[in-house]
Amino acid sequence: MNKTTVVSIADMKISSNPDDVLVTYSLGSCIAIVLYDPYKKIGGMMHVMLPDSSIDKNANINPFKYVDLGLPILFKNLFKLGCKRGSIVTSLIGGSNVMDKNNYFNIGERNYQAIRKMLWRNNVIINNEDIGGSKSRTVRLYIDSGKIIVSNAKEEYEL
Amino acid sequence: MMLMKDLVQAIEFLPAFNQNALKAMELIRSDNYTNKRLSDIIKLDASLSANILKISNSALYAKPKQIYDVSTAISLLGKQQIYSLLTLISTQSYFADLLDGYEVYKGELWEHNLAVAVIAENLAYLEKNVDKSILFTAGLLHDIGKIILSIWVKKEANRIDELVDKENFDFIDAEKTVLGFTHSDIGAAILKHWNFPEQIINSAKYHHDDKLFNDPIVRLVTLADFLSFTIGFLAQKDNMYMKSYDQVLKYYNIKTKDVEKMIADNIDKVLNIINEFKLIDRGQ
Repeated sequence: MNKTTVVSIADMKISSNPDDVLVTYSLGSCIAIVLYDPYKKIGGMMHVMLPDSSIDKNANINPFKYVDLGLPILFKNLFKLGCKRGSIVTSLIGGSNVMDKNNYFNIGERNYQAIRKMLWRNNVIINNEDIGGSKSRTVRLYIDSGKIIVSNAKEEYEL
Repeated sequence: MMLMKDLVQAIEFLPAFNQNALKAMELIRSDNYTNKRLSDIIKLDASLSANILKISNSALYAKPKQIYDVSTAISLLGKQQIYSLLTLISTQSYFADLLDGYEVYKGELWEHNLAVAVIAENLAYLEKNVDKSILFTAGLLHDIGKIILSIWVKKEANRIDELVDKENFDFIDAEKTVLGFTHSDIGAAILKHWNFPEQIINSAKYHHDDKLFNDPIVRLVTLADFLSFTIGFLAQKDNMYMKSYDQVLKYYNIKTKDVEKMIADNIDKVLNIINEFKLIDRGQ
């Protein structure tokens, strides 16, 4: 029997319970960063909203709002549980322009670039990605298998 | 196509808005206001009183001491907060069923409305002359028309989607074309039926008006609506782009950094209030 653990907006969850499904709903310009270690069967998911914490004096109250603060914590939590950098599978989902037909603000793209830059500087390869466009996405990570399912009102597919 | 008589009937069949809450809200906006008069009205309604006490003592307000009676809650929170709370308590049940013309999961529309209410109130600084006391309520009720229109939108979802996806219609224009009414028209009719003040009716009626209705409350609700969608509330339905958003962004001259700052400034409070007024039960 699967147990759903919700990762809400600006939130992060880690699980090593094989019955667990980590799920985050309604990604627009936000991005789900999904890490999974297939040897240890441990997974982590962060629902991040914004690229850069420098706009916020109180950013440390919730670091998972921001790529620059949250991403390192996500990795450190997996390392603490014994996951090795080389075995972690990294997936990025979201970063669309749901409300921004004219691509005027591009927060989704800015989030994506911030994540890419940080991963690249730390020699982390992105294994899977489903980024951009104008659709919303809900993401599920199955801890027993590492399977990632992406869905919205119109479709559902495995990443 | 929905007929006028369907609409009139649907509005009359809605459970009536809490009359004691309405009376209390009218008093707050009148010249006769006193704390005593307000608490006298609220105390008549046991469930309203209990709810106000519960929320006054919740993490939302973080008061150092337990509040035991309505009069103390009124003096500590102030009439403006009480006004918002009265709407909040009385409105939640209208969104308690799945409104599947507009949402995938039950409660998504409610979360979106909470976000718009909080953000509209927090953005009051953008306007010089604005009646701040009703911004929260205007935001919370701007989409109330969807509680009636949902089943009609669901029925005609294919035709509406086709107009939006292939013909490049705004969602609101697709509603008008296919159903004959928009959720804005119906929202305004409901709020009028419930005797809400004109400015709150206007926010429901004009938040998608592509000429940007000339009222600071409507402008702020429109901007908050855009920001809530941008954060991702209600984004499961990904065809909610409207021209009115472009108008309001231009009006306030808002740039990428401003959007990010506004999201950053508001999200904690939005998540707090969502947590306090939970409706979502996504099950498995």
